[in-house]
Amino acid sequence: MTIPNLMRRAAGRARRTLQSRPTPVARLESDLRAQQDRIDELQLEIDELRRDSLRVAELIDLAEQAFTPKP
Amino acid sequence: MNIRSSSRHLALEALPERTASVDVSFDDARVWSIDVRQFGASVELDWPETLQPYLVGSTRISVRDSTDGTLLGEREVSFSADPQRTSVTNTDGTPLVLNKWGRLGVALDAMSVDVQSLIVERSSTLVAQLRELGLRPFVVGGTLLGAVRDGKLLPHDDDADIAYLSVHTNPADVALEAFRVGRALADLGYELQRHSATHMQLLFRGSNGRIIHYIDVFAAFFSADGLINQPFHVRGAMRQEQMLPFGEVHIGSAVFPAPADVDRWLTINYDANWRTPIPGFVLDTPPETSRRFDGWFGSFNFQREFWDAFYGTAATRGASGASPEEDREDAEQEWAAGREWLRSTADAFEAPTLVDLGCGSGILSRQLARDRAERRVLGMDYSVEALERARESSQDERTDYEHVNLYRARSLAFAAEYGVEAPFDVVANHLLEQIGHHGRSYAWRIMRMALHSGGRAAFAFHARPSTNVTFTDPTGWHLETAQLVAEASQFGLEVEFQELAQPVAPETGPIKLAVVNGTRPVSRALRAGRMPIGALVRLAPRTRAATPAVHSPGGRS
Repeated sequence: MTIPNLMRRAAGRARRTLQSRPTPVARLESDLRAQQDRIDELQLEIDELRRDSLRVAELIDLAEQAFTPKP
Repeated sequence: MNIRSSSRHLALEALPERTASVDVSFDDARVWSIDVRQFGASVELDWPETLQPYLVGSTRISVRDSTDGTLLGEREVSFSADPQRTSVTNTDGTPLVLNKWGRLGVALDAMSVDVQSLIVERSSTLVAQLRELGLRPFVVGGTLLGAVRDGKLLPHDDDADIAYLSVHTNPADVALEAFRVGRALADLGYELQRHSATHMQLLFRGSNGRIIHYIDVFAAFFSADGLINQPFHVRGAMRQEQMLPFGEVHIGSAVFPAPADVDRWLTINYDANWRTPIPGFVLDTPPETSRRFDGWFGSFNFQREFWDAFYGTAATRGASGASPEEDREDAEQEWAAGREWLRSTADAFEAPTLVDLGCGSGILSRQLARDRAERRVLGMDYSVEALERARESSQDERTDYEHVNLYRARSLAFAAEYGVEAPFDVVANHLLEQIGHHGRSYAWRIMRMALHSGGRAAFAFHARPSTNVTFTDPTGWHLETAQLVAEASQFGLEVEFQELAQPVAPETGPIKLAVVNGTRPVSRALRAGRMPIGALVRLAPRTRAATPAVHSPGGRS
């Protein structure tokens, strides 16, 4: 088999593979994007929960000062 | 080694391979230390932004190896045609050095031996006082590093760092304890500035009122995941027995408590090469750690350095022959349209107290007080320099200036703390677009409090960014009206906008101000500029209905 024939057959095989399986790559990309979006969303939720720690601390601090009867 | 320099760049060629850090000096005064481990034999760097204003005249640049002081190269350079020698000093003539945060400060090696002794002495006192408060203090950061490596303060550092090991593991409990510690330190007479819930800075001033040095106080704690934390930077794996019982380190003849395993602590704080002196070392906090600590403990000092520098610098002007007041008005010219609109709008406000939120140097506060003699104007800001400028310039007894920090829930207590009774009005000139969304949430609440008290609220802002907008300069920031409407509605508020004419630059003519009808198309001049806009805030109808006018305990629960 000559080299041009080999290359033609390899190119044909690659074309058939790519044409027959366009979905998995696209699906992987789409899944990855969806997962990344979900991670970002969860990260924002964690940020809010962490900020709640600070809000709670500040409010308890304020409440304790405000409601302590003055001597 | 060769040195090349212009007013923009510094090039170091043929750096010795063994050199990890270099000190750059102007006429033998160190101005900048650079960690060169990341570079090859040659490197070209931009002069840091904070140094650039000082690059005037000529100097002899010398570059030395930070470790042993070996002179690697020197060269006479001219940054400009001005005849003077380049000088990087503060108004007292004290040399300034670029610190690890990229800001100019007085380094310990520029302080006298007396001041250095005072820092050690005050640190010892503070450790004793923290112990008396029932805490477990120990030295951290550069203070620990200097003590372990050389038995003295690091010459390139600019403060002392002390932490206490909390018994708590929950961040809310750690923050709550830190608030109490801060109050206890203030009761002991310390001037304290909080950078976050768990990072306090103690300010020590000289007889002239200027700050001589700082001591930072941090909370440290083991979190539930077993990691050691010392916000804002330290977080890593450390066992309890690597921390306790504390060991000892020495600074001169003074003895300080230190983590049992200082090698482990310093490896987490810096890196495994902590024994090698790298004065130019820049703390690189992993983003996930910063995000965690910012969430847990806040960033109460967000952009405060910028504003302190902004108002500190404006106060030292005067070369033009203008009065400090005129100089400040010039520096704040970009906010003049908002100021004038708020003055005319507040003319119809009738509450006995008017709060100027984010008052800066107090130009608007003073004008508002002059406009209506019978009302009390309360200017509030979080910048120490701004408040100092405002108080210096105010002769009017009806104008008070007080500290409030919109990155804290505590800001909502201002009315009780500063004797503001109902009703009260609020104005805010170019505040909302320059504080970010965390600060804005408390600004909205304070405006809502004013409206519920029977008062009124208005603010001005820029709807377009500056052409050279950067994260580090909030004066260039902007907000869009749609975003403000959406935010306001989350707080049960409505906003009505009015476009304002831009002020004409002083050199091209007098300031012309006029309110542009919001329904008219925006003029070409407005489109080209920052687009100042005035905003009147009202309670949304459902909020008015839902909020009781008189507060009662609200029954049993």
